[in-house]
Amino acid sequence: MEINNEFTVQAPVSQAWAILTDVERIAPCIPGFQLEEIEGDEYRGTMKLKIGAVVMSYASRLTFVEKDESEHRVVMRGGGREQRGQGTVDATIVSVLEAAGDNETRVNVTATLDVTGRIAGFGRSIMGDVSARLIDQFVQCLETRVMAGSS
Amino acid sequence: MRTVSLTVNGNPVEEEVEPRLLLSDFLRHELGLTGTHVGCEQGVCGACTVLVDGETVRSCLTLACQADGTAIQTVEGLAPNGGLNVLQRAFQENHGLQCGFCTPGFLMAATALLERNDDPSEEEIRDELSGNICRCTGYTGIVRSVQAAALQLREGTVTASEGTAG
Amino acid sequence: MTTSLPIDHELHPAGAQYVGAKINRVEDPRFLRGEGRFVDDMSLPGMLHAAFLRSPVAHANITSIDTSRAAALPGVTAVFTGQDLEAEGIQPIVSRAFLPGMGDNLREPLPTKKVRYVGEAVAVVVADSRYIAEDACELIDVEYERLPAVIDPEGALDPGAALLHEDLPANLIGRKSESHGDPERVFAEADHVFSHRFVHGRVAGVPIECRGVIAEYDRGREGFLIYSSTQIPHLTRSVAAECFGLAESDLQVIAPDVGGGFGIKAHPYIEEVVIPFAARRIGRPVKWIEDRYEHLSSAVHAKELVMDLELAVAADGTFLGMRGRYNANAGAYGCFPQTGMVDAMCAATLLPSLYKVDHVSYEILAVYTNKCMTGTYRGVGWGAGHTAREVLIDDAARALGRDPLELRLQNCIPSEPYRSVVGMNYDGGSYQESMEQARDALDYDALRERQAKLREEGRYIGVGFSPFVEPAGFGSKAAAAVGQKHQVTYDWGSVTLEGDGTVTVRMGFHSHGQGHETTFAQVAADQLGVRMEDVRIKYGDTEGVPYSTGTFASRSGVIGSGLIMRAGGDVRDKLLRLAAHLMEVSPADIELSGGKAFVRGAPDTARTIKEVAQYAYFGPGSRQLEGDMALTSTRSYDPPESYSNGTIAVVVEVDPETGKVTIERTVAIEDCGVMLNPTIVEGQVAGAVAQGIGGALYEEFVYDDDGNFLSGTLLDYLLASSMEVGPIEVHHIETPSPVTDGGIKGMGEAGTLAAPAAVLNAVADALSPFGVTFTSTPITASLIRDAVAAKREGEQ
Repeated sequence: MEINNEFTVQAPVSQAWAILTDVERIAPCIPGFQLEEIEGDEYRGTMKLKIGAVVMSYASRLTFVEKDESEHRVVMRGGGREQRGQGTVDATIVSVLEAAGDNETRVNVTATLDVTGRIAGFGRSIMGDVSARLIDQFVQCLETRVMAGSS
Repeated sequence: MRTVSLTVNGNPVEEEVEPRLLLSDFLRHELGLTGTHVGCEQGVCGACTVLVDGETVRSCLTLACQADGTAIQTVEGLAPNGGLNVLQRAFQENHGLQCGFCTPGFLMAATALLERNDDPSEEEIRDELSGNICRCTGYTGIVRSVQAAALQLREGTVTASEGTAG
Repeated sequence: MTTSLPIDHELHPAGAQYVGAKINRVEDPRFLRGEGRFVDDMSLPGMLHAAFLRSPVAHANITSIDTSRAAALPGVTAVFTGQDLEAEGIQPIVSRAFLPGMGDNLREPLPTKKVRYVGEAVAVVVADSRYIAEDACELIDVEYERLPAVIDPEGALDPGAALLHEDLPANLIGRKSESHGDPERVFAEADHVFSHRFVHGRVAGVPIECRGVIAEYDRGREGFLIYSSTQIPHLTRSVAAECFGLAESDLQVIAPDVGGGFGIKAHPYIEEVVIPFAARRIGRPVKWIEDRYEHLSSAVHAKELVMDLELAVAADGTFLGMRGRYNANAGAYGCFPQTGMVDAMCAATLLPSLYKVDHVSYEILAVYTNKCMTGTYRGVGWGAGHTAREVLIDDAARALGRDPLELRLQNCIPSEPYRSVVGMNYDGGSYQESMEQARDALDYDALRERQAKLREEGRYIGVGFSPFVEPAGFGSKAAAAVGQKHQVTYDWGSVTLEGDGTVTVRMGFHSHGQGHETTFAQVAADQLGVRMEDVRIKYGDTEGVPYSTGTFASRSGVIGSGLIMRAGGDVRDKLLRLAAHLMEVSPADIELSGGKAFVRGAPDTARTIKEVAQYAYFGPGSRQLEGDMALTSTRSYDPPESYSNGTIAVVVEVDPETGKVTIERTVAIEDCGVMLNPTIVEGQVAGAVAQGIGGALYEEFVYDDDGNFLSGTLLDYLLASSMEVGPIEVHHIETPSPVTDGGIKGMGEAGTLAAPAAVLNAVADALSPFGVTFTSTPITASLIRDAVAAKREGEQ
């Protein structure tokens, strides 16, 4: 399953790039994510996801597969496994940054997901809605907390 | 554990329950009132419908401790003396059931309907009962049964005490 | 004194008063008072509760299962996996091959190596309560090595497709082709050839009671007591006995009150092996009640077929030939006893239906895919094939500018017994009359006028017809006629006159809504001249009733009545001789009726049947009989092929903007031969029609491309409510079967078989100004809306 989202941040590309590739800085803004340890280039933590009345908690890991600063393209691979229950999520996330103005960067995120378990049963349309909501929250946090502090 | 105290079919009940115990499981397994059936535990099929203070409630989506202080009526309370009340009899006379599994839920939903409105149109009956799923009858016999019961109630051929409340 | 009385096979012996009457059901009061006894209503001393851990992935190797965290949870008694069952030699459930090139399908009760669909049971937890058992399931750690999922039936046989069963060379369940007449020639010569690919959605019976099992092991006698919500207690016993390596009678299987079946409970299931296994290992009774997710994801699905149909038509509208290719997306395992071929085979063999066509060919195949296994659901593949054919006929009628009903009447077989080109022996019926009666009931011409008027106002109503034959009374000959020669059926029943003058009928046909306690009591009461209230119908307990293949495929009415007529006739013979002896007259002069025996024409001579029975049991009566003295008889019956028929017509209004379909009227003409109880017939028709409407418009099990199951709740798999179904009118025609005992034909599936085609044809008729046609089920509101929008765009 592929989910595509786009958002803009109020920052020039170079600054946005620096922030968005710094997992430790952006981690607090990922809704439901708790970064727990870093080993080499693998980031590990817990991701909590709530859809309706269903709450799932994933033991997650994230690595950078590709970081191309000249193209402003970053590829991450992540995976998670439900801590209670049997579901899994595997994702390849391709983000491309592009200047949308002097002080504005458009970020296009394409996530290719392989999802199993309870969350998969919700189907593509709900997962699309949920990911859009999560990205909204992420961007809002980014702008109010991370960007504000870094400019 | 929490203590709940309520009445079920007029009988006072006081029990210690786990907070997560469903009302349907409480009625069926703690009190032995197995007439209330569980069809989906997703709040869709309506088989578990009971009356809580006169209102239809899906007992599979209600916790037993939420029923504290209420008066519950189940299918066993419709005709406590072992007979059939006018609605139950109408179901038998109009082939309103086949496998009988969804039937208690329909009886409770129809009881609540007839308490409010003793002259419902076919459309109103279909609408009111649309929260209950029957997989056997195609609803034809059920709708006819409720119409027949309503007619008997209106004509006063049964007394109030023989009526739907049992 | 010897007498020979013509009593066998007589449905209405002298004095009969019950068969054919509209009689209220005797089983109703217990259900109406909430006093039915379903599996989950039962409790055995010391009983524990089980929950299954089920696979979240469609296709994977199991690399490890760690149950330690689950087993350590307080309240958990044990956790078992496939390894535990394998270690004790529990054998797989075998779905046997019956065609050349077909392989047996073996299903381990719990898999040891692989999972093959989402929802497949992987482990079982037994605990003090279901709540704890479910908590513990979440603590089991299973490592899966993912494999590509096979979802599309057309790609399942590609050389690159992942293989589901490593012991088989391909994902092929079976394949078969047949040709009758000269279809190649007629298709080459025909003036018109109509064709389409029709994809029938994956559906299932979805009874309101899910399945459930309670098992107890008797260590001393080394045997099991198993309660199961099943339509087939004897077959369940056979399969479980084989898995455990026990004699059949070491197991007692009881199907108590069962809350609907519709075919889904007509298969033995792995839980009927795993739960007894757990009970034996633990030494305490274990209960498992299927929850709705488990039911939707892992009880059988049905009818998912890709069908390529062709119809050759002459210039004057005469049907010349039919060709079909049926590919069944049969899921991960073979279902016992039919195998995954059942839907495709049933669809294909009924291809000509009630049309006079002399040239027919078909190819059938079924493939394994990473979905839930398919099995039987009311109407089986007959319904899927019927929908594809009848929709194509309506498409043809529109293209030819012909009235769809007239075109069908032109090509309809006569009412007399008829052998179809594929070899089905129809036993006569009312094939044309039922269509004409449906037309008249609808006031067809007036309906067409109203349709034209409403169209001018921008409202779209439509009518669809679906005339059918329903293979029924499923015995071994009917099984052979639909290509299921391997599915041997075998049924006996007994009738006993008790010492108090009451009558006990014991039969293996389970009743889960069909009203056997009423209809069979009617038949038995008429056979023995007793009052209906003095008859008891016993079923469901393998220790208490003779063997039966079970209740499915519209077979109980025909076979059960035949058994009672035969066994009841034997007992009637003895009863007459006893009464004659008691009254000192000739048996030929005695009539039995209303619970009394009396000399014909002299009712004041009456002795009650109770008196006669007491004379037999407690007086010298039975010792006066010549030959065998038992007031009981056990007989079998394997009926010839018989076929119900009728027509379903549906009137709909469609909103082209939203795609919403409102069913205005449903008329069902049903001819099931001699009726035992018209009330029961009407209930069966209405219920089946409602399921057919559901399958046409709402119901479908959906998987995504990775094999994830997206229909795990009743909010996803939509069942029609009283609002969607609307009123259903049932009309009867009674054409007695010339071949079955009593002229009875089985019935009960036709509504599900035929209503979907009527709905699709009605919706297409309503939307004919837009040129919308359909090639799949269900036709959901969004599908209809999109189809209209696409046509409108195309015009611009």
